[in-house]
Amino acid sequence: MLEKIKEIREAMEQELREAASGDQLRELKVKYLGKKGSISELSKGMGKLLPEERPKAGQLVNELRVKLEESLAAKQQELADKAMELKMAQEKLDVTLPGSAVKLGSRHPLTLVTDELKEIFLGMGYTVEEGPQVELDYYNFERMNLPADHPARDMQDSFYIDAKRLLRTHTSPVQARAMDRLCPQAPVKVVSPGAVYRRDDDATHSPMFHQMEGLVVDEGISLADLKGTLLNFVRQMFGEEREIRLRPSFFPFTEPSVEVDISCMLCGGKGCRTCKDTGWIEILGAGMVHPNVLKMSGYDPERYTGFAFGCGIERIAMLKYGIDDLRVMFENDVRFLQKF
Amino acid sequence: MLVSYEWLKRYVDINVSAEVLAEKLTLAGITVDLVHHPGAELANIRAGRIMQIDPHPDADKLVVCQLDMGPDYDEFLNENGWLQIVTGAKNVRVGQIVPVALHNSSVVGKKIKKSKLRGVPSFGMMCSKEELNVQPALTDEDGIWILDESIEPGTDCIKALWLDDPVLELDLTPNRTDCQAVVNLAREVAAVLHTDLHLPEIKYTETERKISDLATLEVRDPDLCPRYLARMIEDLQIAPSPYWLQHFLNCSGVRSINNVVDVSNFVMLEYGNPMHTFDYDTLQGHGIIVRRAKAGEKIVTLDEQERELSEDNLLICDAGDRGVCVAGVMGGLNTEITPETKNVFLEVAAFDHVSIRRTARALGLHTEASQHYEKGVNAQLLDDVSRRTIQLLAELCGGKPVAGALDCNVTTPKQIRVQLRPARVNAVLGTNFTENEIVGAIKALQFNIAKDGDGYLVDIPAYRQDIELEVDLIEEVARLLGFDRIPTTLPHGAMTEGKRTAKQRFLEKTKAALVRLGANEVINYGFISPKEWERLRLPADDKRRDTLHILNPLNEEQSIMRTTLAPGLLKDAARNLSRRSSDLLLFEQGVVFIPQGEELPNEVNTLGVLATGQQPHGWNTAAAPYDFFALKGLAEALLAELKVSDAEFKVCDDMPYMHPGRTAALYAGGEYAGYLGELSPAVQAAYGIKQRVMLLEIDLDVLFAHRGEIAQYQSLPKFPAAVRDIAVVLDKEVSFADLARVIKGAGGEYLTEISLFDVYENPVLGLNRRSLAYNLTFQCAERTLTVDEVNAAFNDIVGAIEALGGELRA
Repeated sequence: MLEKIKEIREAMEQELREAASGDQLRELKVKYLGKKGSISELSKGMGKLLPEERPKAGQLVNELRVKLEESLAAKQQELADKAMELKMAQEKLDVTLPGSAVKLGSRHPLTLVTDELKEIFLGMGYTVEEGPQVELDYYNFERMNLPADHPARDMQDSFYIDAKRLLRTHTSPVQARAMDRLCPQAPVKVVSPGAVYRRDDDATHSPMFHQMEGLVVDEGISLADLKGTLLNFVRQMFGEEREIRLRPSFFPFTEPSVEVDISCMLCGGKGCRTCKDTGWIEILGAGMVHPNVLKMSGYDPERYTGFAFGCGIERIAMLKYGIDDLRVMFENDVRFLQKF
Repeated sequence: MLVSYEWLKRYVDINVSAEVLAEKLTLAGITVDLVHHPGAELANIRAGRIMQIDPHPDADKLVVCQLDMGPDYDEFLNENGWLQIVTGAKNVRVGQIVPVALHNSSVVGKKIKKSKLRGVPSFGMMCSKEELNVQPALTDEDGIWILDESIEPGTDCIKALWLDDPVLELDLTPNRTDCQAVVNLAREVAAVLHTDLHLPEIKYTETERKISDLATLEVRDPDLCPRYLARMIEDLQIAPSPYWLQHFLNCSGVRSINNVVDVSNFVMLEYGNPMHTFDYDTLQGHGIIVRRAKAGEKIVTLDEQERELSEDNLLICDAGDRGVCVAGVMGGLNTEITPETKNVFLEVAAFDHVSIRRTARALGLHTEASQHYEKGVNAQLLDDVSRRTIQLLAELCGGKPVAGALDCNVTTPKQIRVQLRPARVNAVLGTNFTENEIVGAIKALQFNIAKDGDGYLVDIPAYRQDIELEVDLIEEVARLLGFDRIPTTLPHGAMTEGKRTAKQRFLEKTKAALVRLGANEVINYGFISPKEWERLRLPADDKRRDTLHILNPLNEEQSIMRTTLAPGLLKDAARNLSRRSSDLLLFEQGVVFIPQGEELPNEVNTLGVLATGQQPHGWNTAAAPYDFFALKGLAEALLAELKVSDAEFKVCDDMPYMHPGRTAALYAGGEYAGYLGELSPAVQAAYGIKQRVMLLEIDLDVLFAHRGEIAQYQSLPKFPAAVRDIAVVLDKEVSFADLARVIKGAGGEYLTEISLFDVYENPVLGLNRRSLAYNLTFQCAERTLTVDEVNAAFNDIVGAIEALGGELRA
């Protein structure tokens, strides 16, 4: 009996080792564990043994059965693993192939810059004001301290609809409209982005372009406040290491008026082609709101002061994104647009 | 404006280089764009005296000159101590002093070395003005520059002739046109550098002859000529100007003509005031009448052109009532200064700047004088200008000044006095300047300043018309003490909220949604061409043709304000397609301008979307074109994002530029909001596009008015839904929307979703019939529906479909 058990065990282990498929395993299971399998036969043969031998033999047969079941299970797992590996090997992809097409939309760079400007000034407590692009001469010029026949009107040759209406030449009229609405409230803190038009069309001028102007009116507003505000803005827009420089300039609606330069972001102020070797780049115009403008809006210039600034969105976009040609902004070539 | 650095140095002490001066002026608000160095290329040029001229042995057109180069020069000299130079110039004579470019020197565009000309050694080159970058005077003869006798042989010409004199190019702001005058610029330099001024002293001796005995003056239209001042000088000699005068004029870009003309140009540059000189002896009746021209009156101007005038133009006439000068623009040929002129009648006047601008424009004649007058001249300064001119004419042309002046003056000089409070200065600037600093800045400008209570009173000189208010003086203080001294602070008033309006948020959300949907934003001009209406085949009475017209457009392409975004998008598409970008999904969000009579137009926020070509696809996905339904899907997604719940698409077959069978109108809350669909093939061809184009245009103001609120959250259903499929065959005439409405009406309260999953057309279904297949979802929030309930609802739906003439598809 013991002989037989040993014999079966060895044969079984041998066959298990050689088994290479699920079918073979099933055959082995029937052959050894089935109703007519070798182990069942052994169990049946127990009756022939002496009673004192039976417990021992029974234990051995049982061990054999357990051992066989375990080995079968292990072998089954091994074969399944192998099959899975094989399958995965066959499923291998060229992961360097491009992914399925997903097209990203894009904002126009002028929108990107406008949005960024709005965020910066919303964060500083400004509201966003918009106004009409076809504007009254009254708001565009007179309210900006530019009466008829003022020589400075030549500075911004305008597109007229008729004697009274024109395409606004700057977004300043929005400020006059805002002050009209808000007066006598203070503080006034607004920014006004939008399209403006001037009769100029060459490599560096587009007849339509975009501006954003800002206005603050309150008691005790100073040029130093303007300088601090612009420094904040410039550093958020162009980097924390930027410096600004104010140069006297002239705008009819501000006095004193300044041009604001920022230290060149390309060379850091050492001088390069972009800053024409000066280390400075002109970025915007600004100043203290002219007393006449305040007066026309109902604010007493002795009590209230204010500052205003205006920058060209195209100019900022060109500097920020390194665009060297104004014209591409309005060609709307998708190869350009998709870069943003 | 261009000005010589040496000229400035005559009037003010300058202790810095031209570059440093330029930077300091710029930071004080007088922008110097550039410092030119006309002599930058020149090196090693010395004066030499021609001692001997011999013919060249082998060349008829050349001569061999021997020059004395002065005692300090010793290279390449012959046994006489002379330098041999071969030249082809015709104007050389023995005894002349000429500029010589020596061996290893450089002139404009070339290096000079010793060489042989037709076999004869030449140790340098005699130079023309052009070779030294100097503009020849009108009176110069061609060839070598013959120098003044006073220049010794051996003299360094670059220094002696100011060939290295830097030229400052200024870009003046409109308030500081006073600095067009060199004397005022000098004042500015003195204030910036804190140095001394040496302005020219105006003085000369008059003869006993009185102008009132020699000439008459009558101003008939003082509204256009508030002041006319005349002086005379007699017995002068027309001749070339001295070199310094030629040089300073050259630096300012003015060519030297003769001494009289040069003096008037020089004083114009010096004082910023134009003037005109007449040959007194050609003035009929020896007098001047200033009047409006008669319509059609003609005058031949100095440029020998006949000009026809109108009543808007001011004309200077002689006492014979003959036009002799278009006032402020250009003189007449009949009275011009000629080489024979002996007696000069000088006009220094103030003309109405608007009138001059209109005249210059009408005649297309923009002269140095007209440009000055257009900016306005100061009538109070005319006397100085006229006397300075007479002084120089006396000094340089040998003339004898006639006593007195004729002066028709209706202007009243006013002394402007402006208050300046140091506390106010610091309040406006946010600074802590001391009273001394503030007063010092004003004094540096040479303004009179006097204590007055807590502040000061400042007398503003006539040449600074830009200063009228205290803030103007505050600006003077700021720019002279330096903007770099202004601290950086932030407004410290009441807190303010930074916020957007609901409309602004809505418009930003629309843009964001389009970007998320994969579209590229474009920006087009607000103006378009009226030709677009032909391309779009708009009928004559189409309301889009009612546009605002620009009175003075740059060209027809940009002459009317757009009433639709379609043309801009179509041109963008055509441009991209021509550049081989064939798959496009573009959007523009901007305003269109709807006229409202005399009022400002209604600027309607509008969204335009254009799609053409293939939708995004790659190597592993099939290409699908942008078609009607691709665009409609995008529109539906946008409406969902904007929470426009009561949007409805209706058939739209009357849009002139759209395909009548493939266009839908969009309604929001029952209000027309826009259209979407396929462009008509004819319009597509008119834009030169060879593929189908989908176009959408929506009025965002309408959508905004009908935007929904954010839906209140309802918990997700806890009980299972029953889903039934149904396929319905019926006439094509019955639209999807009609059928959906019928199903929805018949389905009862538990029908929660109708989802189309197939549209099938096949002749076997019957003529003009199609099959529409739906998933119908039935659900109840409180319990699971019974089969009977679902069946009942389903049967109601089937009944309604059959009533519509449909049948279930087997």
